[in-house]
Amino acid sequence: MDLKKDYMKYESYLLEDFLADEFFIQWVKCPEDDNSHFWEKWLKEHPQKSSIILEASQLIRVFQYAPVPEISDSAYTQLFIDIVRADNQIENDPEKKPKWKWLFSFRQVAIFVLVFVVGWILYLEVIKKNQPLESSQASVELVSKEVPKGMKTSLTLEDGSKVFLNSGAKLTFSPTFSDSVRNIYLEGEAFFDVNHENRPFRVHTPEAVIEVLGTTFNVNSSQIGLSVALLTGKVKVNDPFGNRMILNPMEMLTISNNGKYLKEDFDSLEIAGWKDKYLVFKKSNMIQVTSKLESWYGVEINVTGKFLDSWAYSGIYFNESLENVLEGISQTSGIRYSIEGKVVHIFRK
Amino acid sequence: MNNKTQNSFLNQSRPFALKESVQIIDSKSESEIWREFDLGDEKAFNYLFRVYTPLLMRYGCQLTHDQGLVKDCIQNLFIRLRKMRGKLEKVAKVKSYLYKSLQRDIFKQIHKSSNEISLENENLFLIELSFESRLIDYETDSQHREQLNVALKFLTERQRQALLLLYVEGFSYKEVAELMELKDAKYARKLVYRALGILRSSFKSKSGS
Repeated sequence: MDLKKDYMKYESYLLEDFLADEFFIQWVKCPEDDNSHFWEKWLKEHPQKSSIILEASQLIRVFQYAPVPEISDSAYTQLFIDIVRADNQIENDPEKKPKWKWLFSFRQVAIFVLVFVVGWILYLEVIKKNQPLESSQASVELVSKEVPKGMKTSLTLEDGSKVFLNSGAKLTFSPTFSDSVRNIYLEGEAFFDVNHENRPFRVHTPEAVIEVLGTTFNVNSSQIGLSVALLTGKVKVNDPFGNRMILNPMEMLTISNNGKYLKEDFDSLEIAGWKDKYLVFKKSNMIQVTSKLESWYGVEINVTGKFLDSWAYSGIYFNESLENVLEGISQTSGIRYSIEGKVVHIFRK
Repeated sequence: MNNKTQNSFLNQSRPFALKESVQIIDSKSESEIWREFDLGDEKAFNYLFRVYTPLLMRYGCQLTHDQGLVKDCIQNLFIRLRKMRGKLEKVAKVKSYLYKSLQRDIFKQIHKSSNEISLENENLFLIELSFESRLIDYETDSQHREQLNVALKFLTERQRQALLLLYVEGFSYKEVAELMELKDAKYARKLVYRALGILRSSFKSKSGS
């Protein structure tokens, strides 16, 4: 081992070099005699590096898998039994080995599932008799609705709440809600008109959970962060760290990609007009304009030439064709354009 | 009493005390345990099953959302290994050997029912930051925590996978490369460096200083 060379090498290491160093990670993950000996000695001789070392080791430990459902103790035990039993079976009939093995394990699993389901139903019948059976449907299979670029759609949920989905959005929900909570999962942008009920209505996004009883609000969860704009009623936004923010009507909360939280008022037409087919630009720069057009019409836009940083466009269109919108922009804002099928070219005039 | 089958299953729900065998064997190296398993030692199998089933389950569930499929694949993997006792190859790194085998089986099964792939491919290898353990610095500094969490969203699935394999599973770059079907350990290192480049801005001690 080139310990001497490593000794030198580590002196110039930055935080991310340590974070990417196998030997260092090994020491953090499973300290053993040899690596501990090395690093303890190295640290003693490089005390100025101790804060970086500390941060690197903390960061390495912070990463975890997002939780996945665990198998129950009994399923786990059953798995063990099935595995051990399978080889007895194979020894008994060497003839039909492979098929038998598969069928056998499959049958066992099926029986186990059956037992479990029967038990579960009995449990519901006997213990939870006075509760509606609906609670067993909390774990019912989820359905997803995904909107292609260039399209918008709306749907009515089982509780009568209405959801408008903007292009590119994906909504996942259970066809029947549980009797205690209405959970849905959103990626992208959606406008909600939630029926007032005692069951809370929760919108789960990667950034936060938005909880309401009955309100109208717009949620946009995208690469650059989350924004929640409330039109009527009241919503709670819970982030994964336990922070909770409450929004009042006409307030918008933005959690942006640099980790900043911002509460401000908003223009409801600009934020939620899309559901009524209003395409709104408000002092939008070229990137905002093109990305909005791309998702609204499902096209690809190529911009040629440089536009000034001060270039901005404002305008409102109701249910217009792409060509009419581009024509409108071109008349006031010094652009030329051409449309070839699904591709749009924009040039400086 | 016509549900005899059912009862016999339920009665056997605890055929052995949990965790005991793990203690006994802990002092041996994994390749020794593997050899004993090959020789037919049930205690060694018990150890492998106990230690690796939860880990394989967790890893398998990163490859597909179909938990039942993962469970079936783990079951068939152990059944196959038991069948091959006496002629198992020597394995130096038991963990990555089992991970690789399971991954191969799961991919095979997914390909069989390939009409579901488009749904399957999302939200795999998600990372959660756990600030619970003695992490004084980051724990009190919610701004960095949030920044780090936001920065995570910009990692690709493969970058997340590489970080998890390295930091959580404790695999070497060589093992990461093998699992991720990269030609060489240096490509795994590149993937990790790229991920760290994205996260860099949310670290406390910024590089370059």
